[in-house]
Amino acid sequence: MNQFSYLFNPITLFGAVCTLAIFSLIFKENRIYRVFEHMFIGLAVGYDVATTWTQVLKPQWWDPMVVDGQWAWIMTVPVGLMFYGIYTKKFAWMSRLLYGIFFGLTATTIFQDFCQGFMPQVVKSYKPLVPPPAVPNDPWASLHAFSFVVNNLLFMIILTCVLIYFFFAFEQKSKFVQITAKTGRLILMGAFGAIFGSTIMTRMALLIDRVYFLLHDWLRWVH
Amino acid sequence: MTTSEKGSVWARMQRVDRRVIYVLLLLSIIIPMLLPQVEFPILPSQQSKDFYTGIENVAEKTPAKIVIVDGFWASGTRGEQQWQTQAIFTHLMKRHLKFAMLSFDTQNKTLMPAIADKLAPQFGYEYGRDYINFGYRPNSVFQQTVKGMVNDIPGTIKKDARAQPIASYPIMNGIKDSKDVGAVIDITPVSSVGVWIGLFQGASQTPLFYAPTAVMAPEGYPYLDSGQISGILTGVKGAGDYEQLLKTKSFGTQATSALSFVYALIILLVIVGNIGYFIERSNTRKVNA
Repeated sequence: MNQFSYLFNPITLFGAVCTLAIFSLIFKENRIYRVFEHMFIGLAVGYDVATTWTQVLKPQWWDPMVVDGQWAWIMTVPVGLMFYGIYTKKFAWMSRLLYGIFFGLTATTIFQDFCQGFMPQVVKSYKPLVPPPAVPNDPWASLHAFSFVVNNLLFMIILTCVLIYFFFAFEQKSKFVQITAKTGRLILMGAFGAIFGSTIMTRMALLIDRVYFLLHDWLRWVH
Repeated sequence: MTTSEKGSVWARMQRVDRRVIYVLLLLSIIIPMLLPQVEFPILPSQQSKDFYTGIENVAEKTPAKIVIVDGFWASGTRGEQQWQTQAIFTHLMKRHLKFAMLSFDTQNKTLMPAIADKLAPQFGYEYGRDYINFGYRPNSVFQQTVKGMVNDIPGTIKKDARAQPIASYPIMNGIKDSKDVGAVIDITPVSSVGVWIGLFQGASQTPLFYAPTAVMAPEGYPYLDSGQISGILTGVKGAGDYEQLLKTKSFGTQATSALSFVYALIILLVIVGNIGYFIERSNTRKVNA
């Protein structure tokens, strides 16, 4: 057998061709890229539809109704169809009825979600500026206390600046308020820059993974 | 065309063909992969260490409880999250923690269990006894599923991915509600961690660990600061950190090194580009004056 036969392993070769075809866009727009892009979208949608049937509708709705004889499940069909009433003026009330029920059911969940999600953050925003008692025998006790105060003070200053920037209830005429709000804006811009750095990290990581696939799985240059 | 018409070196650098940059980018990835001895050191971040220590604490304090691993990732973010998942499963199996996988993405229901099935023989893990696959639930019922599990896990999940009642497996003995969950690990490229915090964590103060893509990681930092999240693994860098902490070496380590090269290249290009821009602007002003 040819020592390079692994290059023609159908699954790996297909993966490599797909990867290179999609990457061909960075050279220039071309038809090969378009063909593979459409193929990818079609596969993803087809896979989703098939999974929705095999993993959700069949085991949780069709089988209980048809196999186990729980015929009451048939009632979900007209109820589900009521959602489509939104497309006609005459039957729009049907969809509104369902949406009303759903809004009511969801509202309490969202309320709980909001309170448990954000209240601890609000509480933790009030950071102490007095350091806790030093740990016994800590040779860096004074340094730790100093960094504790600086960190928390910095946090409080940044929080105040950013909150003032977003405070639109009155016109910001005072020089102090203007400077504070401007500082808040600059800090936000710095934060957005850091977030954009994370975005680049994700994009590059995905590129590295594809290059690894080509070099490791297909060409076997990397071990 | 004369040299003056082409402009100075700096002016020409402003007009570098983007394909040249792509080639440089590819080289910065390929070279560290082909030459593993050329690598940047990996220093695990504090949030990765917190993640590791948190799982160690779960293994020591509540070893009988089950860990729920929730997966939202699919092929689109597989490049980062496959390696996070592999590192996390390796740690859980090393510490003999029982875990259940729950997918909210159609592709994830195949991708995530495949990693667990591949690692299981190495650690003597057996399906149904040491780990279980709760299967797939549509994203549209994510909140309802999470809320349902707070009070009744077997009643909410009912059957596993093999269509068997989950209560029939030995792993589920004594597992009833959120009090029996040692930790929740959310491996996700979307904003799902807020739902776990809002609807699940509060009931029993369950430790929550977050493994997002790098682009989503900043969303987790406020929760980390407030103590609602016990640790974050940031993208493939987090996977590399975790491999360091576990003293193993896989793609995460290689990718983190390649990532450092890419970042160095991008920083260099940004600096050179800006210097060129300012010099060129200064030259233009002199000519106009």
